[in-house]
Amino acid sequence: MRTIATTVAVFLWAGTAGAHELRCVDTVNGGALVEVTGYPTTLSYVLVVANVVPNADSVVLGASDTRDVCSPSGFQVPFTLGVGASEQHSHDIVVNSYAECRAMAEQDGRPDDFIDNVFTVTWDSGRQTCASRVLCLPPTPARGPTRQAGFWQNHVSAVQQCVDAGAVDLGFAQIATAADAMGLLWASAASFPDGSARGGADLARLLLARQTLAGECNVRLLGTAPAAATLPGDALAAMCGPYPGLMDSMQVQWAAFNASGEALALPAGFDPGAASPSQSQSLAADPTRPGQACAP
Amino acid sequence: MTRIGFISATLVMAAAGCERGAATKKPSAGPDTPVDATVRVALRIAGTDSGAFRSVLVPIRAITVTTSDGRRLAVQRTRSVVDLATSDTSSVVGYVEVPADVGALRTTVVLDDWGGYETASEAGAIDLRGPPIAFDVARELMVARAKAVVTIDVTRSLVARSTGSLMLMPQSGVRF
Repeated sequence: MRTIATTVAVFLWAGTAGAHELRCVDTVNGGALVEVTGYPTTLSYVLVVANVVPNADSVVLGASDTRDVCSPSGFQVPFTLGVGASEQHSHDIVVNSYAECRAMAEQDGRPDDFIDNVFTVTWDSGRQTCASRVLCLPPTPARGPTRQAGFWQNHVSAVQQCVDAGAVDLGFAQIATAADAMGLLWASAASFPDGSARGGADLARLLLARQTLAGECNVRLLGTAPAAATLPGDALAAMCGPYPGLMDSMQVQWAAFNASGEALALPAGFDPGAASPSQSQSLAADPTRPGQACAP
Repeated sequence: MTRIGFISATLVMAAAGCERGAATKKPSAGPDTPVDATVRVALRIAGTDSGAFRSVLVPIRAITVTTSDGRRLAVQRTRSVVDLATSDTSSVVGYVEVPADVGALRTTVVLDDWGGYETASEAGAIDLRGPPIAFDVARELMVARAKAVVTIDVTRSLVARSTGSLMLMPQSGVRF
């Protein structure tokens, strides 16, 4: 997994007086985010580092990006930027298909649809990081409207309607109230409510449970079901098992389904209510506990 | 292909309020702190430059601190969600005991998948998925300096999607 990182071990304690300071810009096709729906497409990256000290030079000690879009002819550090000066490099990448886009997105080790590029510039007393993202969207039409977990996480009324249709069976827990649902969606990934650590299979189970809940609400309220009819059952079985890898795989499948129809309008007659993150979080009561087991 | 505009957010991580470890008293960090002492460092995450946002709720999945020789230091978490819109004063998200015999430290913050935002007129989800935020720092700075600040430009970091939700694209800085 790549990380946004820079070494600041060389930073000077008294680096503020007469300090250098830089600003970075990382854009693709002129902005920070591009949503790709048609292939082939050309991604035009531009990376800029600028001196923002109004009356002095700044020395660029580092300038690199995680996708190396400007290598090998990129920034040759160190170099000095005068007052008001900047240096820019650009590079075009052609993406021929959705599959190629996904393959590029997965190069960072995360199973998502994002081609992220993180550009970091460093100077003697600090650093700045900026980022751009390409979102790979499938060219195939969605089966119907869906909403991602973040939508349900911030809509109390919608979640209430979902559980009003019956408790959502997660095997190890029954999500019967909006407080349960929000508790799951806002739960601490690091620890259970009793303070004990949540990691490994327990964390994978939580993440899968969130996607499963969102998926079930998509089925119940938006009327869209996954193409793979076995997904709900397979996910339930995975949550009841001990294998994080299997749970991760199921989570990716639920997440892909939950994202598949988000561009489509909600069904007529369904009112999700207003989004209310603060209310949603305050309502949350994490229903998970260490050692929860599925009913035999 | 649709290009979407900007909104923004700020994240500040500060190592501040240093204390000696449990075996010693608790002096303030600074030039008088013995260099061979274990130091308890507070890790802070906060937002600045929040603009029109009344609330930017960001759950934090994990915080790790590792030494240059690969040891993972225990981080005592204090909160799982921070509000970047109301955190002009940084919020402590955890503590780490930094031993004396380490060189550089890598601090990594992994955000959870989704958060939420509110302005006076709208609200919705924030997609937080993305690369971890990480920085390397010499022990001396982690321990002796009162703060280590990573800033994410609020006005540049929250990007609107065509679907109406926002994505957090951290535009960050670190200063010591």
